[in-house]
Amino acid sequence: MSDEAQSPQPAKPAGPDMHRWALGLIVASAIAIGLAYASAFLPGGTPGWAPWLFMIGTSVIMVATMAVGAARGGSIGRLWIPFSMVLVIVMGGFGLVLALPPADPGDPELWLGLPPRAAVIMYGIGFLPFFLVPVAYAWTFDDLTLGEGDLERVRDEALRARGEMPK
Amino acid sequence: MSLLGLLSAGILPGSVTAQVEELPHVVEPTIVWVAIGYFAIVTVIGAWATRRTRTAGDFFVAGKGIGLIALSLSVMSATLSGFAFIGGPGLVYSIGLGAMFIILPAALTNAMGAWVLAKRLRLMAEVRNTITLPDAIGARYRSPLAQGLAGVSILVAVIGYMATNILALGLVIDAVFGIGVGWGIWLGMGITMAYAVGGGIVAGIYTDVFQGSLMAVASVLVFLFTLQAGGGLSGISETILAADPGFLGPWGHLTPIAALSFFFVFGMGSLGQPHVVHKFYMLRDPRKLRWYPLVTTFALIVAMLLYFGVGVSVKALTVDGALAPLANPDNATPIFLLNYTPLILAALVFSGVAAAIMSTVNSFMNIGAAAMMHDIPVSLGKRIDNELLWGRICTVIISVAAALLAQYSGMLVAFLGVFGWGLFASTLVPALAIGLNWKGATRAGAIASIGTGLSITLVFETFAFFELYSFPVGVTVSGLSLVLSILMFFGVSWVTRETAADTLDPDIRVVMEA
Repeated sequence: MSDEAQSPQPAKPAGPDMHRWALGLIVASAIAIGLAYASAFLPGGTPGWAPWLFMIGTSVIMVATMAVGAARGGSIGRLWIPFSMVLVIVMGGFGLVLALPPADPGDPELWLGLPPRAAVIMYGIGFLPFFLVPVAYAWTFDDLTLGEGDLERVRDEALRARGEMPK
Repeated sequence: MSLLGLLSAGILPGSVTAQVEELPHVVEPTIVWVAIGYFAIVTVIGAWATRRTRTAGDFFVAGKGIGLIALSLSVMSATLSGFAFIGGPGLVYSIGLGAMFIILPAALTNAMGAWVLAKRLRLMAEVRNTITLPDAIGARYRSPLAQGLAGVSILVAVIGYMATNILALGLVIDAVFGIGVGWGIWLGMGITMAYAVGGGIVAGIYTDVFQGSLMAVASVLVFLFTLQAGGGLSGISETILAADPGFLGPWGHLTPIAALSFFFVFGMGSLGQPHVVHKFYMLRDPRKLRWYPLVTTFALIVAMLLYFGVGVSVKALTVDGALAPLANPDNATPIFLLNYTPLILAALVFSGVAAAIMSTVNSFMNIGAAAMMHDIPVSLGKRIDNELLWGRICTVIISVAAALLAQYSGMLVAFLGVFGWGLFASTLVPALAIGLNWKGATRAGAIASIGTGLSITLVFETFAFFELYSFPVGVTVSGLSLVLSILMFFGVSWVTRETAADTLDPDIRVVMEA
């Protein structure tokens, strides 16, 4: 992915440039989703691999978009932990649902009141990330999003960038 | 056209704002008095907000002076329309768990919006005094054309969205007061317009706080009654599984691609909903954003309990024979409320439905007026002098136009409601959400992606609505246009990458690097 040739830049991360990686993943997952959609136009209907491709694409694009927004100077810091966990939960959940057999209506096994595959969807993908991403956002807010004094600094730097004197 | 009709035509996602079919009449003194009390409270808030609205900044961004709870509840209220209380439970009743994929990404979307947009937009308001999303696009790409295109996209989608929501409001008011849909449209629109014109977004925000609280409380209470009526969640599941196992299958009665497509469109598309993300400009202290995803997501999940509970409970009750199968799935909530909850709770929910629709309509009035009065003239090189006065005038024009469309356009109103969500998503997600976080994005990439989203959505939604051409089952216009506009954005930006540096002003770079 082409990135910018600008200066001044914030310090480059010691590890891999997660911002650049995440942008690449957005493009790759958008292509995957596009291919899954395109497969529906094939004669004979949607092939069996298309839902797998779609679920990988949609899980990755959402997590990668979060990473692009969260990255500062190319790094997402310790946010790699919740982001990886969310990816495992969402992609693993969809994968589990695609792989598990349907419930037996004669002798239904229920997890917290729902058939297993429905429970994975509702509690796993729908509910579990609530305990991860909003909490991770709050947890890392000061050092990775907007610390004390950042607002003043941005205001002053923006004024200087426009050639005006900060108040 | 019914929800199922829209679904089978593959065009449902955009239609999730409102129902367009008549609801059963529930004219009861308790319900009428609670609704009158509700409208009175909204009017008082509107009058108070009008006194606080003195500048265009107050009118469009609440003077950048709201707190965290007000932001969270107003985002929750604007996100949920009447669909969450009426059409959504009806859709769950019809297609089972597949309908949950519309709200399934909710645990992720608020944090995603916070990381991707909240900080950048709030900082941009700090350094550039931006008041609209097209303002931010114009500033990001130094492009009046991109700002104008985004403004036109918003205006087109807003009028369609508003018309369907105002029709839905008319149906709810008719169901409660029995005054006819036509009078319901004008009464509902009149009340909403009165506080939107006077108090602008300040009135919108604080009525949303009241309305959002009402929606959340009503949703929790109704959910408890649904569990009681169905014999607990296990009882509900066992009843349904015996008769219709596919209903509680992971995709419900949808195909996997269709269900996953909902997840994608309503997950990623949430970043392009202007009536929601526009509110990021308004937070008084940007550092309060720390708690925004937690509070908003919690409120949203609570308010969505009714959506799931009523849908599955009514399905179990009809399977059991306790209720007759519904001729119109949109009747699931009214029939459940009238048969299984105390009348006072039914009254609160009907007011809650009106509340949800009015808060969405109010947000649309405001951003539509801003697009008309601010973004489109700025893109043409003109700036309006008295933005407060013209903001109010444009609010009236848009509201009356939408109400006339709702009343007289027949099936056209259903068509207009179809493409709102998808049009917002495909035109704004790449240029705004990704563009504010990628310095390699170019002006040409932004314009190409907005143009792609606008043209694909309008052309193929028109084809589908008039049954000239429909995509295969599972492929939605909104999903396809979103993914193509994302790819167009990256592709054209890559081809024109030498111009990336020219499209970025130094102060905007500071915001993007913050």
